Amino acid sequence: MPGSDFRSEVRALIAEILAGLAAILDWQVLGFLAVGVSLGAVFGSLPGLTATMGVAVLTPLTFWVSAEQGLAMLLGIYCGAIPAGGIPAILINVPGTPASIATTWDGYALTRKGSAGLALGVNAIASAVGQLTSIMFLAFLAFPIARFALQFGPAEYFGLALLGISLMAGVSGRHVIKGMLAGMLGLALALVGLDPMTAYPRYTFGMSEFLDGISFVPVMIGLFGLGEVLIQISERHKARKSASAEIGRILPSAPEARTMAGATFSGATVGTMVGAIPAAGGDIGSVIAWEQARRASKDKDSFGKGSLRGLAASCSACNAAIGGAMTTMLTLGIPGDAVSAILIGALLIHGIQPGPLLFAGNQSFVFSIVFLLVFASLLIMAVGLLGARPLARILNIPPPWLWTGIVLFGTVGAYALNNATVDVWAMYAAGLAGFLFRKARIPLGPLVLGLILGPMMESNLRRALILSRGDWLGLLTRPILLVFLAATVLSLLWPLIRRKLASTNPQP
Amino acid sequence: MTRADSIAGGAFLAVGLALVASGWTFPPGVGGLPGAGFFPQAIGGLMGLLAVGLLLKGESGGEDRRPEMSGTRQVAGTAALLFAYLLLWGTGFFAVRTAVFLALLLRFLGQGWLSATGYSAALTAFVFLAFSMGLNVSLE
Amino acid sequence: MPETGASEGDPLRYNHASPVVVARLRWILAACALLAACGGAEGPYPAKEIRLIVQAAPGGTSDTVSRVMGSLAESRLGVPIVCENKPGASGALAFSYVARRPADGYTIGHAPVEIAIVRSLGYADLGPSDVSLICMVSKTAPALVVSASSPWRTFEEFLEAAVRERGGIVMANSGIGSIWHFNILLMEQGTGARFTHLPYGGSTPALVSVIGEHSDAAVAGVGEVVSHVQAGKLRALAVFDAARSGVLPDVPTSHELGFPIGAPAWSGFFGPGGMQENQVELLAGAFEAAFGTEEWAKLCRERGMEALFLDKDGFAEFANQQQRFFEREIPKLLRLGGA
Repeated sequence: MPGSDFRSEVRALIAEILAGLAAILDWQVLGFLAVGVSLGAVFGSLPGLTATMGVAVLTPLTFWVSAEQGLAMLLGIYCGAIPAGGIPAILINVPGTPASIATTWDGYALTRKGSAGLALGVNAIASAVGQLTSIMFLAFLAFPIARFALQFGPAEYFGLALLGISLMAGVSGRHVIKGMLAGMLGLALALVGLDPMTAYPRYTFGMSEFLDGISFVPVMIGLFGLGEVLIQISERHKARKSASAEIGRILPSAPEARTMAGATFSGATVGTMVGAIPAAGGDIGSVIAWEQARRASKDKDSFGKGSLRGLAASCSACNAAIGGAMTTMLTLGIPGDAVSAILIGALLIHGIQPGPLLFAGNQSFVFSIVFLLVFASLLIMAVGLLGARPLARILNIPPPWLWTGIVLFGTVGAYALNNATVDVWAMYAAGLAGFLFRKARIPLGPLVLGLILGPMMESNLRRALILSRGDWLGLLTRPILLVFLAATVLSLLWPLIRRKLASTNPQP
Repeated sequence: MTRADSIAGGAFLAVGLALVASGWTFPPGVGGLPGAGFFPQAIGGLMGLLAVGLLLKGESGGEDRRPEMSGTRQVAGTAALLFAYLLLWGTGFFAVRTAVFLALLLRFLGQGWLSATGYSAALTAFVFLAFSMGLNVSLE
Repeated sequence: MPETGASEGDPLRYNHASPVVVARLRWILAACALLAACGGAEGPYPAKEIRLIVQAAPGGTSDTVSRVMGSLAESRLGVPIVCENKPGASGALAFSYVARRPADGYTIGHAPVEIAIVRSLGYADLGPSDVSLICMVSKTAPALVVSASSPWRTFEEFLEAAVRERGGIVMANSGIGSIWHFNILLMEQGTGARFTHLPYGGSTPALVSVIGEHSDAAVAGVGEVVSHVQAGKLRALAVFDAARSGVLPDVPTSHELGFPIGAPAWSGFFGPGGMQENQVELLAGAFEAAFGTEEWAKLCRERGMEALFLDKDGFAEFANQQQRFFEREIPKLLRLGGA
């Protein structure tokens, strides 16, 4: 009888779920999770230490413990680092990890308005909500999401990159031409290194240090960290009335929570999808989510100036990318981002092979991972909310102390990434550029987008053309690419449409 | 148009033209496919056009203020210290070199010698312990 | 922070690949023993931690091999082996860095097949004969895979189509100039097949494109394909080797099929040129002891590597022969590939 079959299947599933939960309801496993989350918070909140690095460095330590314990620690680091990356983004305008670049835009603006506490609170809550939402996707829609991710061939990646690049105008604020110019500069910097298709060295000046291109993280630390320090030094003579910075309340009010709810959930959806696509993660996802929230909002001008919705969307998306990446990893055995690539290696050591076999054959382990992710996100939310006030004290540190701290952590972090001196030079050069760009009111967001998306755009367009045998129009037969192209065109024409609308009913 | 805009426009125009020119030196694509020089030229061309736009129009909607060149002495001094530190990167005695650099930087930014020395020593020790011992980064 | 008397200003570091406390205790014990033995003077080698430079980013095969080997060998040496990643330029940055260090035995490097390739690619003027080779520990054969739903069920069917269609089959590779890309070119050279090459930035995206059916076939290390083959996503048509692979025992080898082609990836260790014989032998002995452990055998099984130990002379002969092979073949192969 089909009914009883179904019922016994459900019963079996519930048994697997409970077994998965039981396997981690162990004080040692939860202890490792807590250790992981705290370590992750340290790695994430210090500019120059990334989630990838934290997981990579601590993976060998997990060889000596059980699979559940090891995984708890590594997932804890992963889940702890991403929201923690938003903390320096909010407090000092320096993203702790690449995923929190979009968090600087509204988060730091809120801090300048004296609402640092609220920004940190929103970061903690939206991050957790985003991650929990993505875990729900993982638990219930894993295979459809995985199939969607596998649809991504070169043409589709090119479309995604193009859409991302078209957001340059949107994230430029009022300085659209200069923003686009900065974006082009980012794309140009991304050209440095071996040509991805022919391995011909471009702009390397004969130095093998440049063959793999310019490392992104040192440039990010320089542009945002060192650049911001130099700006603050140049403006310090101005009366600093906000010497003892306001922290304000932490928890958003009920009306505020209501305004943010939509942006948080749509951010989570975008983040999960982008995170599921291999090689695209929270950095791209949060920018797309931020721009999407801006489009959807009636109050577009507040974005970038301390909009709670923009903040919630970006925080939610960069954490939702975790669930997306884990979905691809668990269902297909394919890393969704750099961290999950290392996680796969760690699981292999324990004799666990992520992929369809694991999903079908060892469901209780998959549910263990789901519960670990749930606990981790609740834990990091609690830590984030409780820690917001003490952390915000950082604003009361005498500025020179803070500046030297950022400089030193940035320098050593840039070096430690690849143990490469050239990365330290890149960081300092980017710092000077970041300072000059800010002075000339050239937005930095597009530059970063260009750097991230340049290689993705170029290599995938050229791959797509190899597949279509050089036929450009042949690319247009791919439905997902067409959707991306339509979205790109729309986003490029949007400012014109808006201006039209604005001129028909002029604002006072 | 502000002076910063014209400087930026000129610089971007130069970079764009250089990209277009350098594109010719790369091996061309075979079989109708774009070669290694295609993207440099496309990006350079777009950058050049935007730069011309900026030079002609200025940034519409931008405030017509000259960039404030205040605090130049402070920034130049900081940059000089940073550059000196960068040149000495990897020459040995990381901890000593860093503590001295930080102390000089703090002193330059107006801290007293005592607090500058103490804080820089503490910060250096912390970073050295965290990275060198905790993360096995060989700082030298 | 505890400080030991014999550290001579050298920072006490933990090793990645062992629990912090154990590593520290072991180090302190070793330091005490040394102190007792020679009164704090320049002790016998090794008297302090050894840095092992890995030419790839954390998480990959090179990194895992180095960390596991390092942690297994350090108990034998009595000092920690600390791994440091210096990725870039196919490993050329790390090789040149190690080669420039003083040959005191305290900086060594992981030596993958790329050390025999980088000179031919022009990334660094350095080859196996310029460094002190210590020993080799593993070998990974390349495997040719297609999507599980592809029409080709055997190597012969695939080859027949590749020869007939001359470029009709799209072959994803892990990057121009990578070892797996050379294997594809060797296949073209040795069998008369012709492919449309689709370069990716590594084996994973290349395999993903085959799984997602965006390209038809790929060549990657046996260890990289085995999980997807077992999961029924990929079908392995051949292993480019003389002997069958332990993890893919049902897949025919290229030699069996009548095409003696295949350039494996391998892992070994090296130090700066001119290291003392006894230091090299001491390190090789420690790695050999590590090689004999069950942990190493297990890792090789999981990663699809063939455990293969060559001492310094055997490794030198092998690596130099590889270097000559690549110096001869790479210019020809790259001309063939049109790059």
